[in-house]
Amino acid sequence: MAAATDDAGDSNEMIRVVSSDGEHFEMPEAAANLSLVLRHMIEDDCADAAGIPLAVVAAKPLAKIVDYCTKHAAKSSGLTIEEAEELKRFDAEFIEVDTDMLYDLLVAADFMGVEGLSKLAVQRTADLIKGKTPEQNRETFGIVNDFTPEEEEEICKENEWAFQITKPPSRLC
Amino acid sequence: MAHRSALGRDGEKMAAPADVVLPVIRSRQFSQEVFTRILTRLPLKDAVRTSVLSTAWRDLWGRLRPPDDSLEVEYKPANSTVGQLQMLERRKGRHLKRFSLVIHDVDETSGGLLRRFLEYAVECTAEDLRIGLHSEAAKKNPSFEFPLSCHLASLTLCRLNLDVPIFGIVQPFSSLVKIQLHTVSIIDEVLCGVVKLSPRLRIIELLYCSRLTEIIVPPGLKRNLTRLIVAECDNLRRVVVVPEPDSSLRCFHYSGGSLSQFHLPCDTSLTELYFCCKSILTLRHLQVFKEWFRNTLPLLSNVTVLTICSNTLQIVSSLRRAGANADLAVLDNFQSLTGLRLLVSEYLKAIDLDNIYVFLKSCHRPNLTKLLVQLPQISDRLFEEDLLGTLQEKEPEVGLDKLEEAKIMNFNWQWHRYELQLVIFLLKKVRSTCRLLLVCPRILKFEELGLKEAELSVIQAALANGQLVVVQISSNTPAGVRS
Repeated sequence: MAAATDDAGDSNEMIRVVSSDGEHFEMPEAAANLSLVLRHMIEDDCADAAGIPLAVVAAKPLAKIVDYCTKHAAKSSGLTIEEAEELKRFDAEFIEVDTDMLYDLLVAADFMGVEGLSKLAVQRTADLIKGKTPEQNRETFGIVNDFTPEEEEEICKENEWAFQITKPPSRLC
Repeated sequence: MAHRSALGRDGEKMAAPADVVLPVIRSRQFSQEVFTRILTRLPLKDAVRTSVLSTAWRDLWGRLRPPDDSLEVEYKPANSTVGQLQMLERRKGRHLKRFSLVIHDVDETSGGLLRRFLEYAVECTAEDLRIGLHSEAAKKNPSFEFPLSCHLASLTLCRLNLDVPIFGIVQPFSSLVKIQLHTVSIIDEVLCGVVKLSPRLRIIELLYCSRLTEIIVPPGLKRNLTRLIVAECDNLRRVVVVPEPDSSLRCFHYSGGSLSQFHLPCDTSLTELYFCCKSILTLRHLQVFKEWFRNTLPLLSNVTVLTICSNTLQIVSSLRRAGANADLAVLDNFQSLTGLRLLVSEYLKAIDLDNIYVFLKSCHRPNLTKLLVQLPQISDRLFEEDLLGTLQEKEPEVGLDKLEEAKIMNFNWQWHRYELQLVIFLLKKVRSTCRLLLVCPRILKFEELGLKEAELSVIQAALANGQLVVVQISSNTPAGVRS
């Protein structure tokens, strides 16, 4: 019975989670509540001393997510303008990660239902795609081009206006 | 909940529908939701370009883009527009349900390009064609010719200049069902030509077409007008709809000045009537409308929603005032009415309240559930209190038994006692479950209105039990107006 001991909302209850590679983490209940999945588990009394197992989230991204949630939970309500600014700066720094970590966060945030983080990671991924040639994007994302040259030409031709200008900055329309 | 079921210890990834192959990024799998979010945060051009990354990305894009049978073109004089046109022209021969062309701006080269876009719509046998000019483009008053397909079912034009008979048409629009013109500079001959050539036309909507002086709908083979809307066409003088044997007009909406000829066959099929005649000096100007109402009133038994201005109410009530007993026979109309909206152009006068009473009295089978009285916004011009007018009519006993909601917009308590009288009348007559909403431009203090003790207590009781609700909206009137 980890949850619902305190109605005031700022319970000091710590929630334990376990990464896919078996590492244990702890965060305040308010932080865990930012994850839809964890919130449901807590509501269903599934949070115990053994910790909630997160089967597809490895320790490295989980540590980041715990950080993110703890920071955001602490500042969740009644933000002053300065605090909102500070949180924005935190987000901007937080998402300055290498692409491997970015994809891990993208998967994990989506899986755990952490809306704010999911948005942040999606935006960062979109920024990586923006203004790049298809070849550059294939490289960034490790995509294997499985088109025949004819198929590829056909697609380019069909949407020629989108493929015409290939050098960034390319947004003329 | 997908997230929870995916929480199993076996580490299974979230599954997409079996037949969908989602792209993989650096050997990680994402839900379709994540891809959708990424693509929708990209500029269109970048999003389209992802379709060439791999087959999985192409399919992803294909699932996201809008259905192929509808095309929207945002036109601006720019090179990209030419590119888009060329791209389209390579895909001739497809069928389009809808083609919409929004023209943001034009230059001297635009006429030809716009024509090509519209020729493309004809080639694609577009059923629903919409052409609209933004105000910037409309200022330049461009006039360009364009062809119209005989497959067209619906035509919507906004802010277009159709001065000249530019529809180079000889073949009839055998499929055209609906025509909607908003602020279109169309002349009588052109409109008449289109209507004549459209034997199946059922819906005509003409708004702010200020060059029209007459609207004539001749009989058509299979034409069955169900909806006719004519609003704010300032120079209109004649509306003539030649009756069809099985006419079934269901909705008629007129808003504008007086007409010299008004011929519109209506029968019991009419369910929605909106009638608002403006800037009338005397009722004599409304003789044409009065005649129409005299002939049509007995047929309006199926109208469920009625919207009329105070001038029209005056006509209707004058026909229904019990003076001429012979008329009483035709008074059993509006028996299906569920919604009444009254548009008051000045302020509520004794005669208006009288007319409302007469109207309610002659509703023999009242099913009225909603009543809206729309008063004018406070203007710079202050109206004098209606001191001369006196109420002639007694309050009706019945007529509001089923009312569920009454609303008075722009309730302007400070000067006009008949507005207050209407409120008190409503409070006395409606059931306790009926809510009365007053929307006022300024703070309302009932105690300071010089109400009689009895009236004040009725209002205060209604306020206390929540039956009367007062909402204050901010008014954009200068503060000086009050003094």
